[in-house]
Parts: sequence; C-alpha cells; structure tokens
Amino acid sequence: MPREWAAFRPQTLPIITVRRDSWAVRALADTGAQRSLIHPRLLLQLGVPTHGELPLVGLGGPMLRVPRVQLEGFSVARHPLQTFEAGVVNMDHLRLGIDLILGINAFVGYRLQFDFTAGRLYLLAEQVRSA
Amino acid sequence: MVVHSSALQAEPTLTLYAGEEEQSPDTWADRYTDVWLLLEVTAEDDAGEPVLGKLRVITTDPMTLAFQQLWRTYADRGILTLLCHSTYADPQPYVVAYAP
Repeated sequence: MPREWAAFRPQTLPIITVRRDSWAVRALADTGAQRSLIHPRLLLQLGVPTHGELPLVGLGGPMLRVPRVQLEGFSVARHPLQTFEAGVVNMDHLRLGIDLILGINAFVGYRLQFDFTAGRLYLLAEQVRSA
Repeated sequence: MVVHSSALQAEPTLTLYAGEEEQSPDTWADRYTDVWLLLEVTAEDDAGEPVLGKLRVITTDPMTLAFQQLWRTYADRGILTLLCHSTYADPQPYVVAYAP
C-alpha cells in the first residue's frame, strides 16, 4: 500500500510534487485559497482550453479577473484529485519555483493533515458515512 | 513531435545538458542559480515522488516555444519529467496574505 503523504521540506511552505500523466511539477498546497491557480507555462504544455473568467482577490490587493480552466487527471502521492477549477496566473514573482497553487477546491474528498516538523502532507480519503 | 536542433541552438534562453549522471532533484537544484531545470525522472519512491533524475534542459524562460516543444516530446514518449527551479540567488520574500 503506498504511503498517504506527500513530502516537502520541513518547516517551510508545503511545496509538494504533483503529477499528471508524464508531467511532474511543484505545487503549493494552500488551504487559505478558495480556488486553485495554474501557471500559463503549464497550461500551455497541457493544452487545456480556458472557459470564461475567474474573479480573484487577495488580502491587500485589488480584485482580478483571470482566465478560468478545469483541470483533471492530477494526482498527489498517487492519490487522484477530482476535476477542479483554477485561475490562470503567473506566480513567478513569489519565487517559489511552482507551477500550481492547490486551493481547497483541489482536495475535495480528502482530509488534509500537515506535519511541518516532518515535512509531510497527509491526504486521507474521506470515509463515506452511512446514515 | 520533432524539435529541430537548429531551433534549439537559436534559442538563447535554453541549454541542453548532455550528461547522464543521476542526482536527486534537490541536488540538481543546488548546483544552479536562477534557472529552471527539466529533469528526466529515473527513480521514484512508492508514492511517485521523483527521487533521482537526469538533467536534460536548463532554461531561463520555460514559456519559449522551443522549451515548450522540447518538454512536450518527453510527455509524448511517456517519459516522466520534473520541472523545478534551482536555487534563487536573492533571499526569497516571505509569502503571506496581508491587509495594509
């Protein structure tokens, strides 16, 4: 049975590896974000079409409208993510070396547990509760 | 997809790496500064985390057509790659949400 966690450098931002098919890239797991973001260079690579706009706002910044995409086929530590919505944003100014920010909408169906001491992000599949 | 070598040579932001040594992604990242690295993953752990790779491409601009086409050739052949950034030269700013 594969392990249930993705690794990141201890006591740093949880930057993990995300995969889709033969692409592996770095992503920030951001539980403070309602929606996910993807860098244009990865979108170009994947050939995913945009559909409309996504309104975004960060604390301290103005509201932005950015292209919206639906992302599918991604996985973290071999755990598949459901199709999720993302805005297309260049986040290079953060200087984190990432191509994705995974907001809470990317982790539907999982309970997340962060261990910053060990550098582990646990993805625990939600149990279906019977009535 | 075929990427012609003349197109790659004409792209000043991109360098092909000819070596075959395998290193961890962190080791490759520590060797360079302020560039993007495309690694051909040669070993993964049981969770699919790349643990070893061969450096294939060094680029300062992964948005160029030449790099995009080159990256795509690996995917088309089913070869797992990892795109990662090397060490940043300047201290990284802290990433926070703030309300001025």
